[in-house]
Amino acid sequence: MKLLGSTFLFAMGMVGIAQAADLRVEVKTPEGTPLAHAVVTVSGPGKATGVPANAFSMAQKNKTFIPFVMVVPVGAKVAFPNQDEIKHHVFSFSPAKRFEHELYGKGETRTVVFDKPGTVAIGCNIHDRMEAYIRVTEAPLAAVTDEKGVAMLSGITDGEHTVEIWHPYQKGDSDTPISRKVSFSGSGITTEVVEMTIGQSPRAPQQQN
Amino acid sequence: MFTRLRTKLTFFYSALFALIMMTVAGGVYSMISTNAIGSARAQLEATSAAFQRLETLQIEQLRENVQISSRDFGFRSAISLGPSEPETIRSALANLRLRMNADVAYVIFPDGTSISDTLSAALPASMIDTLSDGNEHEGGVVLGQSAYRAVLSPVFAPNLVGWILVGNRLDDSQMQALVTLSSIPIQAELLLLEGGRQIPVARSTPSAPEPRSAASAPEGQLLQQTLRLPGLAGDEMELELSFPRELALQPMWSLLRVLAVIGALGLALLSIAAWLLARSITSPLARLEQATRDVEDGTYQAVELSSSDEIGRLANSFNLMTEAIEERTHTITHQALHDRETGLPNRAFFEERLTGLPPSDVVVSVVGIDRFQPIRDAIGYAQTAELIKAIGARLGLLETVVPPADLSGGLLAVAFQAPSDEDAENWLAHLLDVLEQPVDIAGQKIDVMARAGFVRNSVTEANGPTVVEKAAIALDQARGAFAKTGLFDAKSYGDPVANLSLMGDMLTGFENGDIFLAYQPKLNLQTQKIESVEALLRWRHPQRGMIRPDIFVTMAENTGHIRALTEWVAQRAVADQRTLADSGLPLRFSINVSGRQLGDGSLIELLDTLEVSSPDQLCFEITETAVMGDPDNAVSDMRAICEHGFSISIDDYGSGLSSLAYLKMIPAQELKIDRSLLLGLAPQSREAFMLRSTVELGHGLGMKVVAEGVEDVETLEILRDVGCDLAQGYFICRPVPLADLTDWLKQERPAFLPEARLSA
Repeated sequence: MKLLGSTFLFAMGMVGIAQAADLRVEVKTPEGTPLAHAVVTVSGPGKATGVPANAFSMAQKNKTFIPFVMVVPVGAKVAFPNQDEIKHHVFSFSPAKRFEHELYGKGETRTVVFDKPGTVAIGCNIHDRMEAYIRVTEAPLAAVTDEKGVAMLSGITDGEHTVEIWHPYQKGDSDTPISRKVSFSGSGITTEVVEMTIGQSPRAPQQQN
Repeated sequence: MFTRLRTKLTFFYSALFALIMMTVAGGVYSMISTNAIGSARAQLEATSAAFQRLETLQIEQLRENVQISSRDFGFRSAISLGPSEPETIRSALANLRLRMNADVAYVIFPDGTSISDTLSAALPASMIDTLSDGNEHEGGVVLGQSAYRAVLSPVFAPNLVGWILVGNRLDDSQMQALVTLSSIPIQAELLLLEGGRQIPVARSTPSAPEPRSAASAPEGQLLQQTLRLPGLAGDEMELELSFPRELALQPMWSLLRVLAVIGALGLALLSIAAWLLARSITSPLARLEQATRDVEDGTYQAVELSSSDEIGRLANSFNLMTEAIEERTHTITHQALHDRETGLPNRAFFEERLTGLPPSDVVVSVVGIDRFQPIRDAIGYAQTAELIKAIGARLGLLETVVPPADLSGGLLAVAFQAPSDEDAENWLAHLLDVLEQPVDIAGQKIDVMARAGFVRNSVTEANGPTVVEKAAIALDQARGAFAKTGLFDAKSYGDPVANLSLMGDMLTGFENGDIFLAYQPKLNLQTQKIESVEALLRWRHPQRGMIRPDIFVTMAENTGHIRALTEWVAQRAVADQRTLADSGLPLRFSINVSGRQLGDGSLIELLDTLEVSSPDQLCFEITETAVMGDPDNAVSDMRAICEHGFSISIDDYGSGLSSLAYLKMIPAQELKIDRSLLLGLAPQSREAFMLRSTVELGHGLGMKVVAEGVEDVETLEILRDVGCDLAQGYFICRPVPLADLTDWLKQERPAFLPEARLSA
């Protein structure tokens, strides 16, 4: 939960721009339930500053991928450290990134570079219930909603931006996000409330914190 | 309905048995058919339940297999390649099927495309829509031309990358395997229910599948059990198990056949047994029945029965009864046909035997013992019976055609053959000679005299006398003629029947004048004058001519008509007397009264009705013998006559048994001497002397003396000489009708007696 809540900006490169606005996105179901694990991206006229140097990590702990949903920029290198006593076999058959790291044990880690935008569903071959999603995006700003369904994005330049919201269990096309055009000018916080219909996961994976 | 006990018993026993057998058969039918159908249904249900259980197991197994396969890394890896690599997918499916021993497999991708390794056709979009709700699905489905039991499971990697559908074929062999579970040869059929239609998809019997609707199912002929199977994608399937009812009932029919055979044999045996038993009962009964009929007809025959049961005892009782009846009948018959005292056959017996004989040359004779009553009074009834018996025995020694019979009253009948009447008479004379030999009765010799009347046997005419009666009459005739034998004389016997009808004619005779009174004058010998007349009855019958008064008066007496006759005579005479008196001829009238009427009161009634001015001018002539039967009442009636003022004349005095004792009793004013006293009358004769004495007797008793039957002047003279008062007879005047009498009285005539003699 703490990790889930640690929404981060990977658009660190935008620091230095004097005039910047903030965007607060609230994602909830039509019934009004706050929706966590939604990925919010903002892409605008400004040019992206490239791949940040941040190291991305998706740990395996208690037979759970942590975090459940992670958004990374294209080209990001994500480590998959095993923090369990048992071995895991992390794989993805997603077209955006197919990879497989056969059984590796505690303390070991494997890294994957996600070089194509898209959704990568990650599983463990020996633990069917283990499930995680990495959204690879080209957008300069991205955040994942916390358990209150809120994502805060800051440093948005003036102009019209495309705000996209994606959730791994969203209804309909699982790869196409909800897209909105939002204009920003000057500083201040703009709040966008987004309703999203969630299909029940067939396996109803229980996120274990 | 049944006239024979045997038929009745046999029928009822057989019917009862048949009824029982039919009831048993009905019960067996009902029970077995219920059982058979029940057990067939149970089989169907059991098979259905087994199928359901098996199906559940197989689905479960299939599901497990599918779930395992869907998580197979390699398989998931292959699926995740997507529709762009169909051949890889197909090979993976083939591999999967091989592992799972499945018949069909599909991969369905999230985009709706589907791939199978065996079937080229993609799954219909509607099916995919139904299935792609993220859940597992299972049930029957028709893919291509075959039905399958299938399981659909989503494939996660770890997100949903598609579904796999794996199925096993539900075909004829499955159905055949299914029906082997049942102990009876049932049929199984799998139907797809699609929009109200039933599409056969598999069946246990190899017949061509044909679509049919639920309505056409031959209800009643088939026992059915249906099982709904869930469909994979909406459409349901139905397993239909059926068993022909006929087949279920088959064992029952063979049982019923056995039962029918047993029933038929039993019925035959029972019928024969019942018939035999009934015969053992009814055959003696039939013999008894025949014997009773024989008794009815007069044949007494013992029934011999060896059995000692009720029927045997009945037969014994019957035999005893028959013997008793026979004995009694014999006694009664004997008594009816024999005289009780003499033991000789009686008249009924004799006549019965006689009727059977040819009439022509048979002569019937009745032999009468003279003075039978005095003999009987003398020796007593018992000895008389002995006497008759002895005479009968003598008759029995003779050659007769009918045994001699005792007619009672001292009469015996005998019948014999005689070609002519002379022969018969000779034979009878001989017979009487034999009979008149002295008879020894109780040590005493008794002489009997006998006579015989006879007649030739003939058929009795209707209402006529029988032959025996004729012979008896002939006997009477012979007695009357003082002859030993006499042949029946029909003429002298007359015709009693015709005489009887005469009485019927009498009343009409009164009315039309056939019966009339004739008057005979009486001459007063002193005065030579006619002072009185006697009224005499005359009947001129239109058919029979003049009928003698003694005949019809006697008949009137015997038939009770005498009252009417006397009354008519009295009234007629009174009327005539008045007529004469009116014409200047007053006469004293005498009428005859039957002695039978004296004492019965009828005469007194008559006296009251007579209207006469001077009763002393009417005289009632009554015979002396009239008082002999009942003197007291007769004399009482006579006194009544005198009290009425009428006078009485004693008629026919001197004939028969004249009794001075009676003469003394009768209050008469006149004595009428019978004509027999005038026979051979001559002056100075004994007859004249007797006449004189009689006249004097009459005078001495204060009576006038009348003589009747005077036919010549000599007699008249003697009568005058002996002092007789009145004379009557043909010499004076014959009886004449009233008109002639008047004429006769008025005519001039010479004196009946010479005057000289009178004066002398």
